[in-house]
Amino acid sequence: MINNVKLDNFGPIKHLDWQNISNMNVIIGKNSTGKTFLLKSLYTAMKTIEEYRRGDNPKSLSDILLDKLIWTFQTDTIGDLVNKEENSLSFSMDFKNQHWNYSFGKETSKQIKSIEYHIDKREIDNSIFLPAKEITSLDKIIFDSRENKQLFGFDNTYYDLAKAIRQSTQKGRNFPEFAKCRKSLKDIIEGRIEFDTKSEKWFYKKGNQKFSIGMTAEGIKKIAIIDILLGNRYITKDSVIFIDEPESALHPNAISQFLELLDELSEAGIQIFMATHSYFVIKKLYLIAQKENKSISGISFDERYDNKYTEFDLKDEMPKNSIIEESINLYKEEVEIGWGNE
Amino acid sequence: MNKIISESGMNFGPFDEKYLYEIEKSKMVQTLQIKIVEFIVYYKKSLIFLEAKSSSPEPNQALSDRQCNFDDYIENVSRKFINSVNMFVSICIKRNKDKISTELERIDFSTINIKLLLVIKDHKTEWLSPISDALKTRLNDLCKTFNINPINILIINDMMAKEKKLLA
Repeated sequence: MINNVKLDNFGPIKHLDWQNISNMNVIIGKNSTGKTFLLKSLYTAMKTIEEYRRGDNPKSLSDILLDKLIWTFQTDTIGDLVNKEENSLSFSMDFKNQHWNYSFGKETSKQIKSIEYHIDKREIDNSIFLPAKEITSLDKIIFDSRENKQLFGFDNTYYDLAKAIRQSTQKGRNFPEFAKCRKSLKDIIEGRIEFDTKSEKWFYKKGNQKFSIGMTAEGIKKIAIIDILLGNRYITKDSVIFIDEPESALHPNAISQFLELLDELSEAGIQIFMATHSYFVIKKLYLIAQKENKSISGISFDERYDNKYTEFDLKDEMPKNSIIEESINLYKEEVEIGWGNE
Repeated sequence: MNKIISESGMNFGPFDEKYLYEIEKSKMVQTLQIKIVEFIVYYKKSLIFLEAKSSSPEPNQALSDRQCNFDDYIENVSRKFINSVNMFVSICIKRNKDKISTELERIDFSTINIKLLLVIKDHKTEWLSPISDALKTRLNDLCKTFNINPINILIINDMMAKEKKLLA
């Protein structure tokens, strides 16, 4: 698991030193504060670790990292990732208590020279990023855009996921914990999303009925992705899952069920990072932390504080942040309307 | 004459006694032994049924207790509002021996706002919203029956009550 991460001048994030990372983690903050940037920086780091020296891959660490940064953040040069007010950025992370870090300047375009790397080879396990939009109805366009036309538009978070869900099922028994999760998933979406190899199309199967993917609700498609990745064993007990806005396209009730399921996965060993704007997500995670007396760590980006962020643990408290404050403001507004009614 | 009413560790008022009905002190209520709000007051062009509480289900209680307490709490408070509105109407249509003041009798209740106000002492603002949502749901029938806008079901803490100048 990722033990800690430190970023300096990485895009909008001037400085972040996140030491208390747990198995389930949440990142909150207003738009443009760096939530998705942080998720993507972690994802890039994990994918670099996973590709470097895997199988017979001859690529250098620098080349892999450069490629991951460009295609995940989709900037013309990686130097564009350096905070506009600074000359260089740095990233460091401990994974399974082994360290690696890198840094580069705003003029860097072809090679990252400053890399320190002490991480063991990672042969089997995969990390995955679930973007806010679902991808089952877009995968052909994603493949065409990335593999044939080599265009920016769908970054690595989409492309990697499109490839991951197409991966055929690996041999061997699935983890018992995952079987339970798949059963819960099936209950939530009342069916399964499956791939038809003949027509090369995804479809939604509910009982004996089959529905085209275009006719299937966004929320179902989104949740089903996890089921597919558990089913084809792309996700293992040592995976790290990054989720951007788990609440998008989901009813609050489905959000709760989805988070309970993620909690089960985290109990099985998977590390989860999510970025959210949703009061329901934070509240539900808070209740999970309280109920199970477990740490759910978080970062709250807030421009009002000196460091622009605060660390919190939902086991101890609900964080002070704009989402919670807005829910209180809405309630105060409700009282004002009621009180002012004459 | 103005009067201050002390309930649940809070001092409400001062209210003009002519527009105040201390329903809780009514002999009829005591005889009937029904759950009732603290008092009813005509204040700022609204008829307010006010219930005060010094405690409430708090998020730091054990989850198993909280669900039970929360439901009981909502039922208890709802029952008080329902009984109080019914009792007040019963007095107005002279089905009940209790009396309200002449000034209150003269008010045309057909047009004014009726507010069901719960004031909870030392309760965090962020904990009020779930109680408000649950009470609004539970009191839906009462609101429909008496044409009360659910937005007029107000759950506030002592700090907010002070801002509304409800506390002495």
